[in-house]
Amino acid sequence: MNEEQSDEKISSHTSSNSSFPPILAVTGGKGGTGKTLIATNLAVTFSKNNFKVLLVDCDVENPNSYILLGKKLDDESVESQSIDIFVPKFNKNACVKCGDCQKACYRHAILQFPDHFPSVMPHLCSGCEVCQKICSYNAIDSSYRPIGKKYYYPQTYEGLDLLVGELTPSEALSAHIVEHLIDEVQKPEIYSKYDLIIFDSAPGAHCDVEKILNASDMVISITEPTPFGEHDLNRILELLEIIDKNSYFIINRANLTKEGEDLSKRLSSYESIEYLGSVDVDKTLMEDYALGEPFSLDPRTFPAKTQFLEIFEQIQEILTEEFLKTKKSSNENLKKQKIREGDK
Amino acid sequence: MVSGKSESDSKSKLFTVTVISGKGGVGKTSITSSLAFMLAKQNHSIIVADADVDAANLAILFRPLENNAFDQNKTVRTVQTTEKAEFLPEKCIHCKQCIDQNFCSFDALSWDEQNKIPIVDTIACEGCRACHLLCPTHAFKIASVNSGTITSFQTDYDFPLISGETILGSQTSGKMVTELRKVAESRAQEEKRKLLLMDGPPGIGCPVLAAVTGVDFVILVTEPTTAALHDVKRAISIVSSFNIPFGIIINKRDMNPEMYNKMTEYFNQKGWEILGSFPLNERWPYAIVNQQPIVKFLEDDKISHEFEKISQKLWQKQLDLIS
Repeated sequence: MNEEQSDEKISSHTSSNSSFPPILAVTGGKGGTGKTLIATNLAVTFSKNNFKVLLVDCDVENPNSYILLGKKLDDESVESQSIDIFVPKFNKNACVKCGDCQKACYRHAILQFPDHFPSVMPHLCSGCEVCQKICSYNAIDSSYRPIGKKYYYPQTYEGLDLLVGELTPSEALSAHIVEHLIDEVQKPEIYSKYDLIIFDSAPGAHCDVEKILNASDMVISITEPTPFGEHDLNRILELLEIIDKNSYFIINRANLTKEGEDLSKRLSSYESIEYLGSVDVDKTLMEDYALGEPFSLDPRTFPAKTQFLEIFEQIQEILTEEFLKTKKSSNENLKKQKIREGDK
Repeated sequence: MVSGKSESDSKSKLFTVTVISGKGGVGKTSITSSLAFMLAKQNHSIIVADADVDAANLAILFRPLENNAFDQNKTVRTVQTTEKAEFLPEKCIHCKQCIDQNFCSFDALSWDEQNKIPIVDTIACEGCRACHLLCPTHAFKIASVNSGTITSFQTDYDFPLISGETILGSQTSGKMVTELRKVAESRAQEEKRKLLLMDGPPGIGCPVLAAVTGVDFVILVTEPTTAALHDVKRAISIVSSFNIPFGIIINKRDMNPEMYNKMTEYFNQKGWEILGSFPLNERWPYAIVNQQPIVKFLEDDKISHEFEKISQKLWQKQLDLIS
């Protein structure tokens, strides 16, 4: 993608309103490195520091953020809404059985036998609307089918709202749900409520992840000190290069092997990525994880928490310097202070 | 997305097993590597494929010790499973219909005000052909693009490994998995191999659907945490909807003993087969660092025995199917 395009993408959510909050994305490539763990703990710690935070769970195939926050989506304060996509509905009064729609369908989702009306196989349809757009007889109406849900969970913790996207099992169009979430946070009535938006991404480096990173201002990659972690993080770095974004990284379970230090050195030699710190394997953290309690709120002092809070301080500083003109301080109405630095 | 396996079904008797988990990082690749190692050690004729085409890691554990030999027996093929729109400026009459009439449902078209032409975002483009079909002057064409590579090589353990990797931004993981399966199936046919063991992607999306469609058995790997249980249930709902038999492996079982008991009770109650379980082992990650199948590196009798037991069960399922 060239620069012009990436600028355009960014401006789509920044130029319209100068008070758009910064978006921080948590990603990493490999599954199970601690993306959701870090994203949820960042979210609660920022909200504890008087930021109004929206955490968006964009791992729509397996959304786990609410579990790590110890919450359930059947809570009565949760609003859920179906996410639907277009599917053609053939109007038999207008259709002349010409077969153009079937020929135009790149997913081969339209079935049509000679001299018969066309029909659609919904699971193959990507909702591209090509059939409707090319039909010369206006014989295709719009119908919609659900492929997932979104859940809005206000005040999950004080100052922290949660938006969860969830793909219905057996559906393939996860990217559509991710897009829906991105569109959602770009609505003024949503984003104007927040000082910070955090995206928790899916593992991998596919289109869902690409869309999230593209829509973000700051990207934090979580990895682990194994060749698996490094290999998959390298894929994320390549992706970030394509979409022209820099990234920060955290090594989680840094003492899992003796490679942690070497890995941080190796990765730090890349120009496009900056080391924020590491979090060790920690028994207390695991206890909290099992209980669904964010470890950063645990009143006890333990190594992983100390390490995490140091990383948090750095992130807060970067966000403040890069995106928020005035330093965040406690007990003030931060929304008024928040002004995006310049217009990209 | 759907693999065309049915045709070769009757001829080959290839038994295909896919390992998935829902949640990432629970040990799919580690366990797949060890099952492959064990099956080969038991002299079974197998072939192994890495269908986690967005984060392909299995080859890391089977990298042959002699790198020269690796390069010699390795074949890499580029696959084109994706089509993308390409703008043809010479045909454009700057009417801007493509933008004004929303040709693109995937937000892949934007307008360059300065030059009065559209810009195609090739990552966002789905190749749906809308712009190509609707532009009054045919200023868009649809062209195949490289979507990834499929690498085949003989490991040091008596079986070949087929590994796929997508080109970033090509938006084609599901189709890549289908391509990869074709390559693995045809090599299995050539070499008369009996069992295809596939390491699947995390999640439950398009590539997972492509990796489990039409297979004979699915192994679900999980760990005793609420998140992993939630995710594995979602994965099982897909496998069940396809009517594919499956079994569960619980990894890191002593991570949370209480949860482990709850989990096994739940699985038993559902009548879901538990193939085996593994304890946490702090040397496990070092097998990955040393690029070896876990069971080989650990040389731990109990762990070896458990893998042996699971491999035997798998092979028995293969025998049951062909008889």
